Amino acid sequence: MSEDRARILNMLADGKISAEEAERLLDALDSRTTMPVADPAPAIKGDPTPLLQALPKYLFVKVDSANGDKVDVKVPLALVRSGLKLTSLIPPQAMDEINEQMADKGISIDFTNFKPEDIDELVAALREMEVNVDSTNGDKVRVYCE
Amino acid sequence: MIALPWSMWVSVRRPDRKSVRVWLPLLLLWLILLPLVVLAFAITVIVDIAMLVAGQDYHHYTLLLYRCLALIGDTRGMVVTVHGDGTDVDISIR
Repeated sequence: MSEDRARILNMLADGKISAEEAERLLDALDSRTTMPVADPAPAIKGDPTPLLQALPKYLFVKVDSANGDKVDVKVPLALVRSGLKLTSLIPPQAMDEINEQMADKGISIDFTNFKPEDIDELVAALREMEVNVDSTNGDKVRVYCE
Repeated sequence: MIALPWSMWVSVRRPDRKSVRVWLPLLLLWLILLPLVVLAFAITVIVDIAMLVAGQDYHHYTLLLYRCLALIGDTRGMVVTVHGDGTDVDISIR
């Protein structure tokens, strides 16, 4: 199964698109991959790639604690992207110090290696991300993007 | 083009006290800070040119300042909601 096909089926399973939209996307994908010269009218006009690669807009963090406390945070992913882009502009001396401090805390991420294309790829990959934590004491944490 | 957040809502509800709902016009804050930002940009441009002429590898302070403002701008749409111990706090940046 191709990656695009799997992505469409995942979007359908997540309820992000309807069955009809999924069918049209799959048809469009087929028409693109098999190049049917005889079929002049594809289900979707134009290249469906932008639709398929639509990036998520928000990162949601939901916490339901067992004692009734609730925390909902909705973070625009543009903020994440901007934050990561900002790290590539931090002066080298300051960046070395940041890396050292983070390494001391056990976080070994070298931000000097972050490239703009990596950032876009990282944000695009967040589309598939979903974290669900159900602790034994009843606390629930859910992190996902939409 | 950077679109800075223009307002922020902060709402605090407590069962035994009067609830507070505050609308903060951030737009006015940016207008007040505008001269400082322009001054900061002018300084960073001069510093960057000086560092470029001096042959320094890093001369991106203007871009760094721009990205900082963009980071503030990208907080638009952020919503934080906390419910606990009878107290509800809602913060929304628009």
